[in-house]
Amino acid sequence: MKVKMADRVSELAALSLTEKERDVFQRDVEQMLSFVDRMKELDVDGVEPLYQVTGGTLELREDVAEDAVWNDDGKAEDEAGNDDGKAEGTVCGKAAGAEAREIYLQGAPKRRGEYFAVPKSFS
Amino acid sequence: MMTGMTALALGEKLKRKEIGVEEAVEAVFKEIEKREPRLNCFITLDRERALEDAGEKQKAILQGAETGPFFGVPIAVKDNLCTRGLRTTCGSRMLRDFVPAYDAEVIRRIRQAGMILVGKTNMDEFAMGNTTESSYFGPARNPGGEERSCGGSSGGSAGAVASGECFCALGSDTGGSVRQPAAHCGVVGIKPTYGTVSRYGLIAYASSMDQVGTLTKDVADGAALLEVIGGRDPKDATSVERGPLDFRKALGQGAKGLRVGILKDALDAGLQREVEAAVLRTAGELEAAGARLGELSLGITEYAVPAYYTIACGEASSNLERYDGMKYGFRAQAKDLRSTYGETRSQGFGAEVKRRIMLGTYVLSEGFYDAYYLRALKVRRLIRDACVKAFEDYDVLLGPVAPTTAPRLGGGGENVTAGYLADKYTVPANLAGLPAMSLPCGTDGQGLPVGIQLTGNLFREDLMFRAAGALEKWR
Repeated sequence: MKVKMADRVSELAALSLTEKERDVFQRDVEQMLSFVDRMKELDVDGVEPLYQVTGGTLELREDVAEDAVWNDDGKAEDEAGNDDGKAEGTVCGKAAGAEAREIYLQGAPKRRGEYFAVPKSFS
Repeated sequence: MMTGMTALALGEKLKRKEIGVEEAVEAVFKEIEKREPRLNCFITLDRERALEDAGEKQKAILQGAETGPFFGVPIAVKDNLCTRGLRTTCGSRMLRDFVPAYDAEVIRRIRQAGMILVGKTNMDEFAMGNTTESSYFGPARNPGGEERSCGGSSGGSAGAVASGECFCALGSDTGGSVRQPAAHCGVVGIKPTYGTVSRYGLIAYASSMDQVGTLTKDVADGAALLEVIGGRDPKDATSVERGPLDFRKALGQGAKGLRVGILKDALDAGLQREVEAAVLRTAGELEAAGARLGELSLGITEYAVPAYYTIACGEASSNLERYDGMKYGFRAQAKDLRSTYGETRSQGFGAEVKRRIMLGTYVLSEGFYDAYYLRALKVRRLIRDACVKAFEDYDVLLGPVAPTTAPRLGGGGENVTAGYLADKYTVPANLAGLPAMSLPCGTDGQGLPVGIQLTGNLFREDLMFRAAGALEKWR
């Protein structure tokens, strides 16, 4: 177990922790690691890792041009009444265009007109 | 009392105009008003819109419209499912005021079926926990004993159904989060085969294991609700084409000839007395119904919990990277971009979430990836292979859901991993993608509900439902 593991990991995970918090998390994560260390008891030589349980792979859709999901008349896809959500590539119950932009901007932690305002990179 | 009815029974009465939709919705909110001050099963209620919706549904019924079995039936959903225009918090400060601009696919489907959304239920923060105590909004209390937990992470959904605050509910299950609260609250909790239900709009915790599940008063409600929400969705690349779903058919087919495997190592492990008794009693009932019993040990499953936590935390650390305070959710005040990320995440997330992010980050980091995450994925294959092998000899596996009945609130100890082993009976189904369900089976000496677990092979919910249907009929 590396000393300052909590320093390195909190940096990677973008979590600002105080010195005291880092000590607590160091101890907690060490407990968790020691818990999962049990897996070392198993012989996994020659075993392939299992990522996807249903045997599926990421599919590609057909390389065919489709009608845009977004329309700029401010109407949501379902209000336009042209899909039941089961059609390939369309989205139902979802705001679109100008209406969507307004909803997302209203939810912005900080907004400046039509933009999300974010802190400057360097102080 | 009306709120004691099953969802399908209510649907039938609504269709026959014996009960009005507004009447049903009013009854639900009356019960909520009565019980919520103590139970805290809900984070957000949507009374006005629910009543408006009820009015429209009632009109449709009076006009003689063609409607499905759940038309006009009120439902509650876990607060990690995006609902357009209705606050979705994931039980976290990070999303305390977040309002999605879209409905999750399962929400779209329940609305299409005519169901009425009454509110969003309480949950462990970002679904990380098994007691609903890590919720930013306080714990949900068990209707069967208010100093007890509802279990978690779908504690609010389970409690809401058990208390009569709602007729049925949706939850999500990544490590047991539908089945375990169902057991602790005395309701039916079903997790389908991974890929059966779309995860589009389900706020992600561990993407290779997350599945939306049902919390209902009986098995028929659960099977029928699963038919509504299940089925391929092109918007979720992990969802699977299963053709038309008919889970209800199997409920009446009986358990005759069904090969049931009792999980012996679970019984040897020192369960609470009444939990062990419930499993054995259930075995007896299945045998009386014509099933052939056997015993098996899945030995490898003692490594399931460490594998689960390694994989889940790894995936969670990646999935939760998006919470940076820039476009939505909580943002802390800080001097520059990097500090804002750090402060936002440190203040926006609770302790358990931060612990799991840190563990996840560690197991995915250079130098440790092979020893932890990759190893866990190999253990996962061994567990899956052991389960598949078991299903060569058995149709359904029978065992406990949790080692004990509902724990007391505030029971967490010094060691943060103390509660993890309670997940040992539920996580194998998540790691292997198997369908599994919790069925109520009496109460313990203190009147707390006991649940038993049935597990099926991949895509074989039908066999699981044959057993469940037979048991429910018997009881």
